[in-house]
Amino acid sequence: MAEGVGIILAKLAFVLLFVLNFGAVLTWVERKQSAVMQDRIGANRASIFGVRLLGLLHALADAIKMFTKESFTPDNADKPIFRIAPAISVFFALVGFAVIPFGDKLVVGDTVVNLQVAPLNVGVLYLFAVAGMAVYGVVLGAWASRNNYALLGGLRASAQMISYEVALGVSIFGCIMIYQTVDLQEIVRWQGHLLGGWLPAWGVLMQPLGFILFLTVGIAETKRIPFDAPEGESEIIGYFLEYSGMGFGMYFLTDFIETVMISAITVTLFFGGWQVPYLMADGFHFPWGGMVALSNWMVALLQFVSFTLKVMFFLWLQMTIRWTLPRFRYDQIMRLGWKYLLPISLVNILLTGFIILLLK
Amino acid sequence: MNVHDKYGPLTLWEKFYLAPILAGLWLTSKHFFRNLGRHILRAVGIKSRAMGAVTIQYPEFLRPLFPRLRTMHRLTRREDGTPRCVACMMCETVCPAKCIYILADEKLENPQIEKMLHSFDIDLGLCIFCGYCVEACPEDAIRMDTGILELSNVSRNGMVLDMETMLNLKPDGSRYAQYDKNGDIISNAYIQQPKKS
Amino acid sequence: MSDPTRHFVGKETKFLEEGVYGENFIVTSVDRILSWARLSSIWPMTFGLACCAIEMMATAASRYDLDRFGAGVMRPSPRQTDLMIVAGTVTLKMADRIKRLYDQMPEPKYVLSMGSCATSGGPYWQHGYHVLKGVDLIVPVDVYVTGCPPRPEALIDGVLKIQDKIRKESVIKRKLQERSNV
Repeated sequence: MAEGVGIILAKLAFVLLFVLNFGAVLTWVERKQSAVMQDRIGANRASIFGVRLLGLLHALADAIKMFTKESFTPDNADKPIFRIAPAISVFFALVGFAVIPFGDKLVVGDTVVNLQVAPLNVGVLYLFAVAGMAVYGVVLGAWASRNNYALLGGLRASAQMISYEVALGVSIFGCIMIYQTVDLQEIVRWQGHLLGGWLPAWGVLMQPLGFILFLTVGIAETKRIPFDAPEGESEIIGYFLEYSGMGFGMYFLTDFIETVMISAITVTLFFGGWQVPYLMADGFHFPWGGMVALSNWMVALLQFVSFTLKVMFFLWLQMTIRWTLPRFRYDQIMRLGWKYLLPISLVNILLTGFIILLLK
Repeated sequence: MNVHDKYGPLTLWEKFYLAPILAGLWLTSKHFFRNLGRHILRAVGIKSRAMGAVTIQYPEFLRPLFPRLRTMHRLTRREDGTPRCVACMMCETVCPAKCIYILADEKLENPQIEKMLHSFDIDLGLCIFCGYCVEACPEDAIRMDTGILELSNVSRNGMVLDMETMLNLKPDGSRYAQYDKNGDIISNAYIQQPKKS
Repeated sequence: MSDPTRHFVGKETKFLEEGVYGENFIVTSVDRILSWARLSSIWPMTFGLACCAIEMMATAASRYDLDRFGAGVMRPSPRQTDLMIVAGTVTLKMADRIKRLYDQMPEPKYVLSMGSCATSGGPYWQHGYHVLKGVDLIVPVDVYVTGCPPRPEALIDGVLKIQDKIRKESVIKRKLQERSNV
């Protein structure tokens, strides 16, 4: 489908706005959600001309403050790499959103727009490639700091991320065996099938074990609590120790953008992506016979809203896990990744294979 | 005795930690939704006694203080307006941090009271707020019941209290908890009314 | 003595170059926006050394929430913080580390000295042979909060005074701040 450059740029701008807004709002959500969970009130004092907005202006104040902080470079640091490492980190976090579909087809004039920025037919492999490159941002930042402890933090981070990439891949194989494709848009379309005529065939029903595994491994891959041993935070020294000002701001933002990315991938693979139950391209087709006709724009809007709501649920879940569970020790993280999650993923593949054979 | 000897090694189910993890998530989610519901109800306008947070929002709301709390010092006066202090130097001697500096003067009007104060300085930057000076004073001249807790300044010299300041402080009863005639605390005096700052 | 919480206040606050021109325009300067951003997002590096650290934890906990003023994100690394709260007795062994960490903080940075021991050595000023008699001998202190330990209300009042100070100071004009202490 020949989409013009204008449409591609519009989709790109839309996705970037979506992701960056979520990333910025997540800084506020983290403080407010942790406050509500801990029976207190979070940040609520920043006000512009008397308008308080429940503390959202604190996120804006954080950003402005980080811009105006002195950007410090250590004396014998590797200056070009030191400056560029946070940018690499953010780049590879943002680029992963190019293959996430947030809607079906949208008819604009006489072009049919596929609501996915880059319609790759190897979407899942692209995501793994991006996750693999994300290690570079961390390791280069730690190495260029010329600080022994930051370097150790970076080594911890790289070992953890590389180990969990294996489990990340293997836990998806069961899904790919069922969906028979690695194109993310086709995966989401496949999940619109109805089992037995009334149950939407979402991935979590086909692969519950795969879902739990993928969520755990995803949280470990993005170094969120409880797997944030590389990041440190008051017990062991982390890899962004020497970064101040906007360099630290970019690492901080990467953390939240990767949280959104794991939520988006989980929703796409296991929870039907943009699928609303019983919503087809021309309206609702209920199994008991009713039908509600909707225009194409309305259908696209409903699909986008459903995607957003599902992503927000997983963001809430990851934030709750973050503020509840204590941190794992580093050897526990490694043991979990190699000795437990990887064999269970392989067993998952075997079981899926058996069941597919039986059902044939 | 090692705890592992008492309870034995972990069973396979316990090693999964699924039950404790889910119990923890259940507890925090319960707090989250309960507080969120209370916040939304108060925002909509349905006010109830249940607060969404236990925070006392200083400086608009004040926590009630109790009578024995040791806050900023003040010097008391007799009925005729002169300070009670007779410069006996008891407080200066007993102070563990040696933060009281007294200079005495001769009091000529009354033959039964021989001395009076020339200057009385307390360096609050050194004071540890133990209350020994209050206990040691034989004249009940110094008390620590002003209810002023906000002792911060931009310089160390600004924290030296002199005699004039301390004589003019009054006990501020509005920040203290209210008691009824039997000595029981009044129950709804826990979060005080907003103060204008 | 009308307002007991403003007992020790110095100069009154004056906003820089703010004016109301006409009915529909309010003019503000970039200074004000930068100061507003800085004071709404003070990230403390809590240097809890002794008993005052317990009161600092109490201030950051649920009952008196320090996060309401934007000061809740307590980063462990000095390179990412604005305010150093020196809470507790400073020994001579620790003084070296405090100076080193203060130098590692990026500008603009502020120091709040919490408790009698950090302000002036406290009860150890006379005979304490290993106690630094006041942390302002090694780092320039902006606000002193005294008490043993200061109640959370007093610490929050100290943070509010730091916010007042940030509101008054000018970034773009680069006025030299006079940091006279003792």
